[in-house]
Amino acid sequence: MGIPDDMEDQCLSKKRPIAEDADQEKKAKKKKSTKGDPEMEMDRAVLAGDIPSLFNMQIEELLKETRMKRKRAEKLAETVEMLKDLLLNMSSGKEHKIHMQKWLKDIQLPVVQEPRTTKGCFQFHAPTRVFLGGSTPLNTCVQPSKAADLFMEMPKVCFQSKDCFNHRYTRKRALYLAAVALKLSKAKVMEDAKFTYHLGNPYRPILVLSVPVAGKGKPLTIHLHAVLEEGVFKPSRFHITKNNVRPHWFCGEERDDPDAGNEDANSLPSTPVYNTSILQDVCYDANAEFLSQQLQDAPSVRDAIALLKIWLHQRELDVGYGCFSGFLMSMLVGHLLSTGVVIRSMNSYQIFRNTLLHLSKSCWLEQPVTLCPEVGEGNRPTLVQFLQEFDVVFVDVTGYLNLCLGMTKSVYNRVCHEASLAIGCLMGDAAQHFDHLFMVPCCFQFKFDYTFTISLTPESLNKMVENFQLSDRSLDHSGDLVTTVLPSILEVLEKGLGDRVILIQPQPQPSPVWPLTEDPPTQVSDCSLTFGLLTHKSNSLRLLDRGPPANAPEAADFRQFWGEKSELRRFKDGGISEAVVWAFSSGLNQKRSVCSKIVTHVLTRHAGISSEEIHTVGRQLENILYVPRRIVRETSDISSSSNSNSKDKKKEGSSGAGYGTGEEHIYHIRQVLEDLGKALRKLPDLALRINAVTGVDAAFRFSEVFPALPAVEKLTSENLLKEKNRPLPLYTPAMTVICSLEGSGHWPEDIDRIRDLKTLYLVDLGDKLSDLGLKVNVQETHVDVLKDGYVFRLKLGVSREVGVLRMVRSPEGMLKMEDTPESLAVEAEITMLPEMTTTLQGVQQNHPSFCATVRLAKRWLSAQLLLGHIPDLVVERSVVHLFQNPLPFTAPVSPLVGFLRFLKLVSGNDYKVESFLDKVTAPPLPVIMNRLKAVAAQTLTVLQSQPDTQWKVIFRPPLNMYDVVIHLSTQWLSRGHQGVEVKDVCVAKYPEPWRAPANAVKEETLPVTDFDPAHILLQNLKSVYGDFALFFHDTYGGDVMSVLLKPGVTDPKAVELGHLFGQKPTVVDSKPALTFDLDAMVEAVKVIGGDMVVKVDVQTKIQS
Amino acid sequence: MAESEHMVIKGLTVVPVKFDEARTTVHYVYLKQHDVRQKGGDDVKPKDRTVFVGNVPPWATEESFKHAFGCCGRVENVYFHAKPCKGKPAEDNSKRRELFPKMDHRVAYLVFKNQQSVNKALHLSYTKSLTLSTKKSPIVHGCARYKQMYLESRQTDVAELKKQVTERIMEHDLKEQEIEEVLKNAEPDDEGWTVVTRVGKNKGAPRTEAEDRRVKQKEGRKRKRKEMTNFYTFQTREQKKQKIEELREKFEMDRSKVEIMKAQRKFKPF
Repeated sequence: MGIPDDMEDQCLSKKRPIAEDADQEKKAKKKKSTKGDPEMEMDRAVLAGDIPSLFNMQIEELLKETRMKRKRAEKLAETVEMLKDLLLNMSSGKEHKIHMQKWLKDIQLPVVQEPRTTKGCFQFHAPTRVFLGGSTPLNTCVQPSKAADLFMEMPKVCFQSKDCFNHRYTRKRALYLAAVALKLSKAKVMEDAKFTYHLGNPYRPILVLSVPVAGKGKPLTIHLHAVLEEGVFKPSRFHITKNNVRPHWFCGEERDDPDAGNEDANSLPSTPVYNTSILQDVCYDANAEFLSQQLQDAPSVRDAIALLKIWLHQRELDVGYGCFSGFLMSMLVGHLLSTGVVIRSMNSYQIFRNTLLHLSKSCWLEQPVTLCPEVGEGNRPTLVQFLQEFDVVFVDVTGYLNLCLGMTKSVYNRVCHEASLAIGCLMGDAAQHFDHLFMVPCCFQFKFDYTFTISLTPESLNKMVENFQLSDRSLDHSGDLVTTVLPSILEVLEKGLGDRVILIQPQPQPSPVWPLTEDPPTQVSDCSLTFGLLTHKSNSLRLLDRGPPANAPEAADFRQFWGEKSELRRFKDGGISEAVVWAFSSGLNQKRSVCSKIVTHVLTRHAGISSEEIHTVGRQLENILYVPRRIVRETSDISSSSNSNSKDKKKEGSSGAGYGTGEEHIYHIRQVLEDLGKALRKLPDLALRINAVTGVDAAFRFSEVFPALPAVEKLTSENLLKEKNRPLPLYTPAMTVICSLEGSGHWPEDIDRIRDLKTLYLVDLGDKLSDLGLKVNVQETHVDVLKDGYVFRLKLGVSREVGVLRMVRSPEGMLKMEDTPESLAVEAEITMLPEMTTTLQGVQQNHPSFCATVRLAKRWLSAQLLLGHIPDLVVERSVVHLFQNPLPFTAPVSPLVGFLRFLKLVSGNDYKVESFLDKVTAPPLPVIMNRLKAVAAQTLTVLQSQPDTQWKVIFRPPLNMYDVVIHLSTQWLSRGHQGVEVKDVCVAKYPEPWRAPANAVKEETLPVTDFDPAHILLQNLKSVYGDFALFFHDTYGGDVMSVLLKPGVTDPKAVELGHLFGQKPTVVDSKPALTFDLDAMVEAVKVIGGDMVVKVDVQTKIQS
Repeated sequence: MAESEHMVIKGLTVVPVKFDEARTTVHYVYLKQHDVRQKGGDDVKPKDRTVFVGNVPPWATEESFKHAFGCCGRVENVYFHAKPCKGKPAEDNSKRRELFPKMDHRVAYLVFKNQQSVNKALHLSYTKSLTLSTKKSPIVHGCARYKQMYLESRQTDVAELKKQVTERIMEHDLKEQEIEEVLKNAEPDDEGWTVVTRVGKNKGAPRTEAEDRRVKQKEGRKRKRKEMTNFYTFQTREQKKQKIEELREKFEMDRSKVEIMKAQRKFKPF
């Protein structure tokens, strides 16, 4: 073995995890003694390729951290001994009828007693055996805080042979627990005791004890289970096809002899869940024996199981009823050991990997796994019988018990899906494996693209049981209707959604915990089920589901399933088929709603749930990207008339709000640019040909929050500026486009001359474009051109310019190429941004939700007043990172989950903004990054706690931490319509179409372009007071500007000629000095802002 | 104006100014006689007639200063600067300015017609403030100013622009030609040295970094061809040793990484 010896020392000197076998330690010592020269050892290890990799070292640390520490284990052992003593010496009680429970004092029976009475008597006797079981003695327990499982064996004498019927056994078991609880509470050994269900199974309550430990440390949690002494029941009594709960008893009908119906027992509905729940007690020993045998002398297997449990827990797979529990995982590893898929000599990583690989390729739904070689023989049920009664089957060593009790197909599919993702993780970037597999929690909200909640009432549940014909199942679940209907709901959802989804998953509910003196939580009046959908990125957007041909026999089925939604349609291939159409507009926001429409339809039709009871979570968030409908209507005339496609024209004209989330709009703008590019490349007689035309505006890379609306004269006319009190023209951005010129050797080596030549070229270009009938405005550095209502700002890309700017002559006369700020700025515009555009275009093609996600992220950042301080490209790269490196998740398909993961990314401690910077952009200030982290974390909590209502809250920044808050007049906001609080029909500013006054000179060429007074004011204030304070503003129609003074600004300074600005005279220690003049700054804001500033609130305590 | 009313700290006269009559909040400016240490003095801002003003309000204009300080005597010129300096403000000849110029002036120089005015200015009252924006010459701010600036910026005279630029280019070309001419006809100087330039009969190798690198690379390649590896036993031995050393280093690095992560509590999954 090649673990270097210093490593070995470390292991030995530090606390070893408990129960690490003694011989293991011996072995280690032996190894050490044989070790010679450490150098030699190391060399040998190296040559054998045997040094522990970083990953293995990380695993070791992780296990050390998550396992119980030795001191704690000693304390646990003491406590267990004490409890054992107490339990084994308990005195027997008197005999009581089962339903007579007065003797329990105020302790309530931890099972639902419905119907209340069942026959039989119960008498308490001390347990025959008390022992520590489960993961603690196996050393596969991973959470130090998690409970240790203590088992007590209920003696034979407590039971009669007929106790298997009609909940008699489960009630007696509960009585036993209650009695123990009563006696323990008298003994006053524990701090607190509660009941809970073991793995959420209401048939199997357990007692949760919290026992204080001597000295310091948190109290120990001990789960007290009750199991059966051997030989009380024959396992065959609980054959899954047998009935052990008589319907007439369950329905409360009185019969003289409840067991008289034995002859017709075969015709009674089977009770597999009830039977299996009891079998878990009956077969406990056999399975525990198997497991301890398999894990004997195999520390690496134990480690692997611990790792697998951490992996399960991070994915919330080991929670609630029907989960993939740690015990199940241990049994699976045991199974793999016995079949040779993993072997003991493998290290923990190899076992971990092989187990996951096996899981990812397994198909238990068709081929159940069994630990019992004689399955189906003797009285044992056959695999086919198992499959009939259960979704997922894993037969235990006895051959009677299905270990996957209550597991739905969806949970199993999720486990397989996660396993294959994990295998993908292991094949990817090695540096990230460890975090992705073990450290990142994959919460429900972050995992699934869409989540929706169904509120359930007892009435609706009963109706569902009726609709799905599940009364037999409800008998088996002793009236737990939610569990009863869940598989059926999943089934119809699966059928309805088909290949649109990859996974459908109900959110696991952790087992309830309740005090001893309360009744167990029953079917609460208003419970709810939350489902998550992991959708397929392209299938989920399909607008039409084509069914079978009209005359095919399956057509009737199809019609039955979809109801009135199904209609006959003729398809392009000539076939006439049944089909379901979900939307008529191809808008992406429409397409994204298809899945939720299907869910609503299917649940209403088949489960009788009304649409008001189904809440789709978080779809309202996209509304922030909408613009007021009125503006869209005004502008849609232009965009549709300019559109050559008559079909599109009709569509946009009819819908009115065709803008939607604006994604299609971006495609439209790109199309217009393409047309313009064609025209530009074809221009004749230019000094140099235009080789390429690339848009570098955010709109062209799908990340402009509000893509430009086509200009309408009455909303954007220049004349609006000339009249004093007219509202401002609607904001029309100028979208920068780089025209790359063909190469030429004739450019001069002087930067000013290059620029002069460019200006000449632009003048010429402007002339040529106006000859084409386009409106242009020529400036020294660019030409603005209006095409189809959009303003494009054409700039020339001359690579020579960068070269010349980089030229630096050293003192020795050597000509060097060096990056200068100026050269970098030009390079960014003509090289980096076009590259970024191409990259993001590719991302958008692969992930249609990228556009909405990045825009949501930017909108949120801006609303939180941070966008001006964090470069756009950093945000874009961060979002790209989410899509390209989604592990441990899959790439987000809905904008909401993309946005949530963005928030999670930036709020996390591991977010390194440096990795998203380039050589041009300056990194954001630390104060900004801290603020970002804080608001992102807060936003996440808001979204997770109340995702439905009040979603706008996350777009309202808290203002109390700023020193000065400037309120702007909404009249002078040219982007006011993009504001967060804007109502749908807000632009009442333009009651009448604007008419030019008679004397107006017809001189205007372009709409008012790129004119945003609030932004100019912000720039002005930054340039004046930027040394003293940071200024914050929501670019998109924010009516508030806030100011944060830099630390130390208000400290008095000595009088110096260089530091006069912004200061007022003061006296410090009776000497004249200067101090920051806040009043003058506020005054300057008021003066410079003029009528744009309504009010300035000074909130700082540092009043000057 | 009483003598006692004015305030001087460290040689700077403090004078409050305010935007207009309606406002009460004042902004303090600091006055001092202009003084140039460098030789030659300052032609534009004569020492005896010029007052330096510090902490100029961002909203002030040169025009408004001329009016406000007119109370001390006629002001000939006002210059706004970002930093104290001599001479005129740099001519913005490129006109390649941003649409909305930065408000980056911090200091001003007032050039009075008469010398006495300087003294008067340095004795301005501390209690009575000067008003900059008056009815007669108001300073426009707020949205109105931005609108005005926008409209101005959009009215570029293309023909004029073209003419200016063409002229500049011509001028430059002429200059270039002259220099070229001089270089071409370079004659040996008195001691017999000739300057080698990029033009002329004896062009030298270009003195650029790229050229330098190219030469070095060429030499490196030559050297490499002569060298032999894997020839002697000790070379292979060394190689092996080096490989082991590398692996060991990697291991040590990994271990230190793990230690760091441990310190950052990177191993607590729950």
